[in-house]
Amino acid sequence: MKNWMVLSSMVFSEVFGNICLSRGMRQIGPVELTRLSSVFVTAGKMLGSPWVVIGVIFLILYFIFYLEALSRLELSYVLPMAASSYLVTTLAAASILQEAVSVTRWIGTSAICAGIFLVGRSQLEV
Amino acid sequence: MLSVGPMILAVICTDAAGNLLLRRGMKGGWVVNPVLGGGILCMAVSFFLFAALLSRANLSFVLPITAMGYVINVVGARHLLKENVTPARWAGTLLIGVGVALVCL
Repeated sequence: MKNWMVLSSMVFSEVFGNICLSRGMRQIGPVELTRLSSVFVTAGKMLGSPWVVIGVIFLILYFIFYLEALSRLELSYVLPMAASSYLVTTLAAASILQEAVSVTRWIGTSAICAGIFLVGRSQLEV
Repeated sequence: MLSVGPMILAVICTDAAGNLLLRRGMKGGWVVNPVLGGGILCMAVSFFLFAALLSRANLSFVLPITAMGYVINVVGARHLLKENVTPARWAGTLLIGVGVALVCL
């Protein structure tokens, strides 16, 4: 598989996976984790939700693409994609999940994106 | 009832630990080793907490917050590993911190 395919598959899987997971978890409703029993109850609910299952599958795929990218590519290729995924995910959350994203949140997310890119670049110089 | 704050902290810490272990574990490529296994376990816990968080808060809020892991990474690198942190890295870290603060507003 070509490098650019690995990277774009990585970003797509992450965004799509997070969107589906978020949708599924929202449907389940606020989760309690105070007792060990509630952890198992939550896990059960998650397995029973189609959105969560699809989300998890795609996030596992993202994970595999991510590991593959790390093992064959330099950080200079992987980091910008990882940084951009924050913006792409927020965009998808706003449009697909109909989340209200304030201007402040957009600015903040953009700052994070730029910051991650800077951090990634600086690590290369070491 | 677990509040969102401690949950966020737990997600970030397990994610940071998991990432560190993963990076070390993948150095030899696809080889089964305990470091890689530990990293995957950490990530699994982090993920479960992340999913639980998503049941309570927006994705556009939770995901940027997890970027705080980068800040922890740099702080840990400086104080635990005694790494020399370049000005560019500090600047990037500060930017991430500001970004997270803005997302919280």
